[in-house]
Amino acid sequence: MTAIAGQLVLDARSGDAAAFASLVHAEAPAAYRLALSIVRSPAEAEDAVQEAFLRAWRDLGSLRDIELWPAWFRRITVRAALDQTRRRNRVREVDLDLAAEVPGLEPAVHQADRLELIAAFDRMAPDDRAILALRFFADLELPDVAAALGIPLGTAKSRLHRAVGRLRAQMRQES
Amino acid sequence: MNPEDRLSEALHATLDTAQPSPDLADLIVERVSPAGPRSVPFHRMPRLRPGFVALVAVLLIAVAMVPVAINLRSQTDSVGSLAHFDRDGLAFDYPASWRTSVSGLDEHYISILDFLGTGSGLATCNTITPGPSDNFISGTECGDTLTVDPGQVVVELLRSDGPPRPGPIDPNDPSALSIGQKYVTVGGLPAIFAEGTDSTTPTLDWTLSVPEQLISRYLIHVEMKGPGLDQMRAQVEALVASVSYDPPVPVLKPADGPRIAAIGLTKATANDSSFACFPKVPGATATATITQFPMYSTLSKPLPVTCTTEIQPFSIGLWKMTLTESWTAASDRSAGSLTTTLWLDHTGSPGEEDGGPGPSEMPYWPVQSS
Repeated sequence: MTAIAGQLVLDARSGDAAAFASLVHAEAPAAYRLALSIVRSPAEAEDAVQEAFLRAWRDLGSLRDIELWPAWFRRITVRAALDQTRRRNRVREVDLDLAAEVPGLEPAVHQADRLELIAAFDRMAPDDRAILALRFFADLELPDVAAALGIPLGTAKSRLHRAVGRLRAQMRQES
Repeated sequence: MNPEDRLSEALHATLDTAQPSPDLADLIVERVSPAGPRSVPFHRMPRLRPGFVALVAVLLIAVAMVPVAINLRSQTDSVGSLAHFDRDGLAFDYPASWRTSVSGLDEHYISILDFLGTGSGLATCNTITPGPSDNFISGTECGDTLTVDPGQVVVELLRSDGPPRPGPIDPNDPSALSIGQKYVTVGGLPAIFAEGTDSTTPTLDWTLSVPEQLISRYLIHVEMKGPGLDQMRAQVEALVASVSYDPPVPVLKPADGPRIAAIGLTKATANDSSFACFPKVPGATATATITQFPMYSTLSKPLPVTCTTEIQPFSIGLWKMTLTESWTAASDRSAGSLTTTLWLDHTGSPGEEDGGPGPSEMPYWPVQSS
């Protein structure tokens, strides 16, 4: 965390709404991408990010060590995204048949392979998507994945192990 | 490239450039209380965002509406009399003057059971036509529409059977609640209640446990529009107060715990030999050298462990069996333990299982199967 971000967290924790606003502007895009990787819907990802920041503002006083802000807020974002998948939605299901290849700069085979993977990922349970996204999109080490999910490291390992297995099974199903 | 690396590449390629709506941060900041960190009401943002407009426009223009079979039937009983609902294991009484609209729309993992009330509901699936930049060739989008005119109420009943796999509703876990939610009891089982903050169309939401189902939920969503809000709310609250489950929740006697544990472990071991380590008598300990933890692949090296079994009844009519394997330190490992939770029904048959508390470092990390 940069010194500027640390100062913003410190000021926000003491009730400085302007500092918190700066924090929101700085961190919303990354939080959105993490939420989007879990909920897979832009509108719901934005709802999750909104709720995450509101929870953060509400509970910021409980953050004793500002150095822990990134992990603390990541955990709140993941929880908000998972809650979003459990919340009743006006439109609950979108089922897409993906194109086998899409014209573009990349080789068609590469693009089709990626689409197949993303389709398999989309069909996984949100809990599985969360742990896979934290590990392979947020590029977190396992202890940080465990912290973001609020589970012990051993549990994170076993869940990741099973999620990868289910991803492979989904890919076999897709193909 | 292995699946993990391919997934990483695919996620980065599709998400790295994703951006929220330009006004997202401003909307959040507007919600933040200038008085300092404290609880503030949660308001959903308008659902249509700029990035979504193209899709919605396509939906409006090119969508083919496919109404799902709806069976409307009117009740003509006198005001004040009650009708009885009993479907998919959920039973309750409701004003006989209300209409019911049977849906039965079965989306992935969630079913819309019924709409009740003086307003109406409709569940539909729409065909999506892709735009020029979309990476799909066809698709469907399913959802529901509630029509609530002034003085009307609609109750939407849904059943969710996971995923997601949230585990049981546990009133002892306040961290599982979102802002505005609170734990209540419905039909004798733990439930979650939330009340919307829109004063023109108040909403009430109950999330109910499903007996003997760990990851399933009944969802009761209510929308109302005044005048007459107090009376409509009283009708809905009476409905919820009358909820019962059909069949009823099994009564679990702690004295049956040892018998159930023995049945459950016998059945679990028949499917997965890694459960063989655990003693069939709760509270007892056993030692073994294992090559696999439950739900893991084969360890890279045999591991001597001590195994224990605990069992207790849980409120939704399931037995919670806690299985722990612990090991001592050696030159190539630290001491630690791993807990597996196995949920058993009232007959002792295993259902859901999950990893519980684990060590900071797993010994002999399992070999990844290809």
